[in-house]
Amino acid sequence: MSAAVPIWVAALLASAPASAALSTNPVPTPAAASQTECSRCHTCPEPSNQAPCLTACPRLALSAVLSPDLGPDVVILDELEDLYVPVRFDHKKHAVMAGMSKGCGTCHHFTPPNAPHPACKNCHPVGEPKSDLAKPGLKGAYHRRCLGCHREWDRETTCEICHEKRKGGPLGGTATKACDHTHFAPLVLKDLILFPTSFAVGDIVPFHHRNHSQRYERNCTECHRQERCTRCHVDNGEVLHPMGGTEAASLHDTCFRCHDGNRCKTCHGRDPAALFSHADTGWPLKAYHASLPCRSCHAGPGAFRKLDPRCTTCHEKALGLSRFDHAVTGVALDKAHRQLDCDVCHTNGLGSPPRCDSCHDDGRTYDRSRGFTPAKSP
Amino acid sequence: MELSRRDILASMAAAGATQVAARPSAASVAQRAADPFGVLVDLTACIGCRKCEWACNQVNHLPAVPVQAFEDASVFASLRRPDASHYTVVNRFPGAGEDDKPVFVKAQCMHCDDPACCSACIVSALEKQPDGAVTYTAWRCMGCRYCMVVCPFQVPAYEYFNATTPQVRKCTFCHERISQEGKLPACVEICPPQCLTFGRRSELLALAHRRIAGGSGRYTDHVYGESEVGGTSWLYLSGIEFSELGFPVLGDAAPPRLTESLQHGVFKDFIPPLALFGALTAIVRLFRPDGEKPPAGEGRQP
Repeated sequence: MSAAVPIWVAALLASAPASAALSTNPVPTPAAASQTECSRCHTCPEPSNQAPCLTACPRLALSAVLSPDLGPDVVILDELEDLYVPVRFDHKKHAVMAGMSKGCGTCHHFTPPNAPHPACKNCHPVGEPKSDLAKPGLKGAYHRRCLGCHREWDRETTCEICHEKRKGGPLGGTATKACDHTHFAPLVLKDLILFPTSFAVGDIVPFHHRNHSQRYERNCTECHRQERCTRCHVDNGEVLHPMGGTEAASLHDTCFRCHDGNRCKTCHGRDPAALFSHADTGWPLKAYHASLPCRSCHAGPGAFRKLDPRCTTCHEKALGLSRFDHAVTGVALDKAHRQLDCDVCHTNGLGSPPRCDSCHDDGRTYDRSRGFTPAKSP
Repeated sequence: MELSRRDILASMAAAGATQVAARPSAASVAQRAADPFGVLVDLTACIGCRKCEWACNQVNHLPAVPVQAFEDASVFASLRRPDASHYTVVNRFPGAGEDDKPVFVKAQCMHCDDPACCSACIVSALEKQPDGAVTYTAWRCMGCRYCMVVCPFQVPAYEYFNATTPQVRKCTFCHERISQEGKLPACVEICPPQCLTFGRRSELLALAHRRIAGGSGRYTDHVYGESEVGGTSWLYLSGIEFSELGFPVLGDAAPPRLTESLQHGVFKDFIPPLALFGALTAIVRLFRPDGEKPPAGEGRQP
C-alpha cells in the first residue's frame, strides 16, 4: 500500500507554531516557480520591497509540494479555544492522505516561493472585526478547510469529530484533555472480492483487490474517486464495499477506466483462481523481467498499455542503449564485446540468445561464473 | 354642545388624516438608511451545526432550552419555521445530486428594505431602523397581527401561549448589539465556518457578485434578497436554485408600493373624496323631485 502513496505529499493546516514549522527551507517545485506569473500576486508591473502592491489573496497561485515528513506530526490548535478545548490535529496523517489526491494545496492554498507554508493566522485574523469582508477570520478559515473535505469524504459535520467540550463550559462538557483517539480502524485489503452480477454467461466477477493495489500498483484514488473515508473505514473494523454499490453502471465505469478493450468473459465467469499471467499477453516474463515492477516497462499514467514486444522498445528508446546493463541478461559483456553493435551477435533479434560459434569457430563458451572463457587450446 | 353622528365621523377623519401625515412612511425611513447593515449567508459553507440557534437563544433570552437540544440533528427530519421561541431555525434540504451533500438553510427575518410588516402596522410597532433592522416596540402593539399576514416570508410569530401580554416575536437583527454596542449579531459571531458575513449591504452585494464571478462554479448566479420584495438586508448565496431550498419565489416590487399607492391614492390631496362626494351630491340633486324642500327642523322632534 505504501507504493500507492506518492512521495511528494504536503502538509495540511499551516497552523503550526513557529517552533513546529518546517525546519528546512522548502523548495517549490520547478513547475510552480516557472509557471507563476508576477501578476498572480502583484497588481503593479514593477513591485518593490517598499511597494509590493500585493493582491489581497493570491489564492491557489502558489502551492509548494513538500514531504509530509517535513511538517509537524501533530498540531494543537488553541488560538480560539472557548466552548471547546484545543483541537489536536494529526497533521502527518492528513498530509499523507492529501498526497493521495491534490497534495499540499488541498489545504495550504497559498505558499510564497522559497518560504515555509504560512500559518493560517498570518493572513486570517483571530478576532473581529474584519476589514476585508471577503477574507474569513481564523475561525472560518480553520472550519472551512477541515469541513471542506470532511463534508465530502465522511459526511460528518458534528462538532465532536474534532472538538471536545470544555469541562463545566456552556456546552456542559466533561472532557479535560484534547482528544487523541483514533477514529477509524486500520484499513485491511481483501485479497479477493466476488461480485455477483446478473450476466447469464458468468454471473460472478472475481476481483483480486490486493493484486490491483499492490502488484499492479494502482493508486487508491484511481478507482475510488469521490469516496468517503467511512465507506472503507468503519469504527468496528468491518470493511464496506466502497465502490458506490454494485450497480453495473458504476462498476463498469470504474473497471473500464483500464479494462476498456476487454471482452465480457474476461471478467464475467472468470475462474477466481486464475490470476493474471503475463504469458497470456504473448510475452512470457523470464529471468530479469519477472522481477520488475509493472511500471518499469509500462510507464505513464493510467492503464497499462500493450508495448511493442521488441527489446529496443525499452532498451533503446526508453532506457537508452548505453544505459543497458547487459549483465542483467545473465551475460556480462567484456570490454571487447561491449564495442560491438547488438545485431552483430543477435542476428535473429535481440530476444534470441546468440551462439558463440556463430562468430567464433574455436569452440569457446560462456560460463556464468567465469565469464567468457578463452579459446580452447587445440 | 351636541354632536351629531356626522360631526363625530368628520372629526375622526380629520384626526386620522393628521396622524397619517405626521407619520413617516416605511419607505422614507428605508430611503434615509442609505447603506444599512446586512448579512450575507453563504449556504455552500453552512454545516447545519445550529450554533446560530443556540447563540440567538442566549442573547435574546428566549425560553430556556437545554443546550443538547441544539445538538440534536433529528430536528432536520421536518421543516421548521421561526416561531415565538425560535427567532432563527436551520433546515436541511437534499443536495443537487443523488449523492450530494445536503444543504442547510438558516431562516430568520429578512429585514426587508421596504418591509410590508411596517407598512401594515397601523400603530408603528414595527419600524425599519437606519441600521437595517426591523424592530418591534411591544407597548405600541395592539395585537392585530396584520404583520403576520403580510410578511412574504411568514416570519413574525405570536405568543399564543401568553394570555395576558402576548407579543409579536421575530429576529431583531440584534439591533442594540449592532447599532449601540458595536458588536456582531449573535448568530454571525458564533458561526463556526463563518458562512454569515456581516457588513454594509452594498459591500455584501459586491462581495456576493465577486464570489459568483470568481469562477469557482460553486454558486448559482442569483443573490437572493438583492431584489426580492424590493431588497432585503439579509442576502443569500447558494449552490443550487433557491426555489429548491424553500425560498419563496417573489417579485422585485415591494408589497407596500402597491398597497400604499392604492390606499393613499384614495385620499390623494383629498381630491378623490371630494370628487366622490361631489358626484354623489350631484346625483342626489339630479334625482330629487323639483320643488321638494327638506323639511324644516330635520332631525328634531317637536
